[in-house]
Amino acid sequence: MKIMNMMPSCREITEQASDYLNQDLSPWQRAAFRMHLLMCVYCRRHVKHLGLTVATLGKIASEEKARENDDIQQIIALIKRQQKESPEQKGGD
Amino acid sequence: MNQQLPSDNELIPRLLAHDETAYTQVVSAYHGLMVHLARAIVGPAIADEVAQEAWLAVIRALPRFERRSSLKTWILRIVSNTAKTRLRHESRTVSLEDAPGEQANTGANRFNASGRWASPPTVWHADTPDDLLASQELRTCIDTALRALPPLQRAALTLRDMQGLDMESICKVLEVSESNGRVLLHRARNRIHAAIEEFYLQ
Ligand SMILES: [Zn+2]
Repeated sequence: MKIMNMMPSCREITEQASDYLNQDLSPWQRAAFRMHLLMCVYCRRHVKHLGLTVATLGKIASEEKARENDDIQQIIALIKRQQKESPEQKGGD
Repeated sequence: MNQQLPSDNELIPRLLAHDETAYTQVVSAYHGLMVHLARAIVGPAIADEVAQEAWLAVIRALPRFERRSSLKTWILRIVSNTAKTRLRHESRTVSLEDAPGEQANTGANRFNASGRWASPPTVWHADTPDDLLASQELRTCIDTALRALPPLQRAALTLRDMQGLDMESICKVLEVSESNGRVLLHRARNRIHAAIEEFYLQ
């Protein structure tokens, strides 16, 4: 058995890269994936860039988080109105 | 989200009893996330409206909540369904997913017949998210690519890579199979990756 035959191709690496980053590959797939990365500079670059893409999306999201709290009171008021009208209401308010 | 949210077991009876403190805790913890999910599916213009509508649906449905998933997942599924319904009403032509057979830029021409790189990835002059985001032009590219994603792809990407949910919850929220969820995320990531790649190729 030649190890090269069991190795995923570069195309397959790009297809598995997202699952690899999610740690969703089977142990065997993961081992073969890493073996390919050891030998292939382009796939190493591709996977690194995909990881950087994911990290950048997280960074963008963390920048957005600051401006969220204004709406909370408005939603609570909406919920209270709905509960007053609701026939299922058990307790008082 | 910095204050500790009580467990579902503690919260649900209090919500059913219309405990305002419990509502405030739950709204504070989940409303932002709900708006992000709504925005991913229906766009920014009506996202707040969809989130409000979803809260009312949550209140109505809570007495019948069977707790087969966490409260968070259940609430987000209501948001997802509210948003999908709105989307179908607003624009019948928009597909929630890709057209059948569409392959997002893992395009055949990048590889030769034996599956090796024919046009290898370019070098990015960046090692960290901050390096990438230092360019306003690149921010705009990423933003444009995010907006161009099909709604379910954008929802999967938002929940996983921007809001940090696990894949199992995401599949429950979006009501897709596990493999379908992984494909949605894979395609969405590839499209954002391709937008950055294109930026560096220019
Ligand atoms: Zn390779």
